[in-house]
Amino acid sequence: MFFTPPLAKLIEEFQKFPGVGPKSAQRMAFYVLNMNYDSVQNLAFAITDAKDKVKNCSKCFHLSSNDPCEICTSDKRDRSKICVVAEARDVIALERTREFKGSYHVLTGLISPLEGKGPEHLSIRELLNRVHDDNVEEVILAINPTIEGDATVLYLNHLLKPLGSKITRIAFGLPVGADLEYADDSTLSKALEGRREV
Amino acid sequence: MRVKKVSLTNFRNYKRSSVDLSDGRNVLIGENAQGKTNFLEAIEIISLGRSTRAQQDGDLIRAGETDMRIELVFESGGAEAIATFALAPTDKPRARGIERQIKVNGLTIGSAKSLRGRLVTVSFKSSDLNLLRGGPKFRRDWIDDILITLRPAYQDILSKYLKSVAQRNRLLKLLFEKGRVSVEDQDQLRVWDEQTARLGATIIKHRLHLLNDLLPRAERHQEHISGKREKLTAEYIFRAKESKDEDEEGPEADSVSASQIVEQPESELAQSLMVLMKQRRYEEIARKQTLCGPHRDDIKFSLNGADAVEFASQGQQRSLVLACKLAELERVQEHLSEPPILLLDDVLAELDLNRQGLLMSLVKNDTQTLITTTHVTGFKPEWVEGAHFLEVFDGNVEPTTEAKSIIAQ
Ligand SMILES: [Zn+2]
Repeated sequence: MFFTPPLAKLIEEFQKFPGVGPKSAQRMAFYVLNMNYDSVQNLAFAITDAKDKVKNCSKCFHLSSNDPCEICTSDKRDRSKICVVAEARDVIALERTREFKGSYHVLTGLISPLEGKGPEHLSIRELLNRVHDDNVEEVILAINPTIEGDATVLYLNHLLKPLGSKITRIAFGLPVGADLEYADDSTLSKALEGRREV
Repeated sequence: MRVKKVSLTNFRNYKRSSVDLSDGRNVLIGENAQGKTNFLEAIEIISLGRSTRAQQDGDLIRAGETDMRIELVFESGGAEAIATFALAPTDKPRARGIERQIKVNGLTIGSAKSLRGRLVTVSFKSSDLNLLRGGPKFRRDWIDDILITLRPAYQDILSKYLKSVAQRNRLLKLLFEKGRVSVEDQDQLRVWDEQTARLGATIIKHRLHLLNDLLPRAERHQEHISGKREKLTAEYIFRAKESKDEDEEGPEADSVSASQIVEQPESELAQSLMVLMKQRRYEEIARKQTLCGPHRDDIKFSLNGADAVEFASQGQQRSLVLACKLAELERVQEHLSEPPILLLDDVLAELDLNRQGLLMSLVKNDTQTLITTTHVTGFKPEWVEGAHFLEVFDGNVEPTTEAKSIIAQ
């Protein structure tokens, strides 16, 4: 199929999005061409505006248009507890629970040589400084039990231990309302590992 | 367990074929290359979640077609289930053009791995000889596949381990390219060492435990087959200590009898793996790969103390493989509350009556059996008495009465 160059370029750009294949990219491009001019300008502006204004907080690396971010500047937050997560979206998920009143630290990824991610690409040095400078009592590692997550936890554990704070990792198990029969083996074995006395 | 119905669409040489199976013995008769082995492969795909023959998923699709579908109606744990394994074209990135769609009772399940444990098959094929004569991977896969059947969570440990090795190999490659190892690199290596060693130790323990259970059984069967003339022994080979490639012969390989290590606590085993990794650090970096661990281990079989690959005759080798497969059948039968499906792909006619009798004596009475063959001569009559006969011709399976008349003659 032949696309006129500007359209081909748009399709190519959409195809760079995660999970978007050539067919979906075509659909999106045709959708954009059918939008009215104002909407297209709004979309283009929203993209550049978000890119301009949303930055990593210099303290916790969460995404925010303020630096330091809203969580880091809040006086209702307990700074003696830091919850360490891989990505900013994990902060948002944990915040939805309204359970945690401490502060966060976003690693901006996990150790994964296959994706070219070493510890030097993560905000680990900054975390160690915070734990040391703020007299942090507890570091809670809210990191997925994948192979990369486990490796990152091991790495952090080696570095955090000498600093003397308590280090915990959140438990993983069955979602509420989940049926034992339909849970996959790894979820079940994690749930068994994290079992508690009743 | 019972397979009630098999429906194939564009699978291998099948265009569209649907056939009911009987609860007892099913004999599939046909010339070579008509689709007998493909038919058993379809059942095995639902049972294992993968093909043991295809290099890639695309090989399973009939030439000139773009998608295929296997559907099995089966009975397991007293309930009837429908499982489908389908391949369809996709433009999703990273899918390489083909997407798997796996469903059980209409519900999509995440990965093919989750098919495991629903339908259990034990198969005997002429390619089983690879268990002895093929590369170490055949022996590792054999033991790992049995372990997954006995304990589905083992699959998770195994894939985590292999992923950990892949990550570690990439790090070794990065360090090789960098040409030096900083303190931070040391720290990271230690993490991957620890992770890989821990999972590796779990795998080794599982394998040794199973091997210790299988070997006395296989030894007994070999004795029976050979009229007490041949003593089968096997050793688990730790490739961790030798520096050669797994394809090469390694006389200096550190072989340890399974019983020695099986007593050792898992944490100790993990520790010794970590020590080995540390000792071979620079060699591993130079070769950009993890040299220590169960992904390189092997099993060495011997008959009367002599290496079975080098010194046993073709006939003895066949007996040895049969003895191992019979041990597998026994172990799996013991573990399950109902007999697995028995798949005999073109092997019965090759076995003499003594061996056929041994196999028959081990198979539980109410086992559903699928036998493929080009002819029914040389069979112990019990295999075919009251059997359901099916004819396989050019990608079609149909019930036939013709075979019965052949036998009657
Ligand atoms: Zn912040």
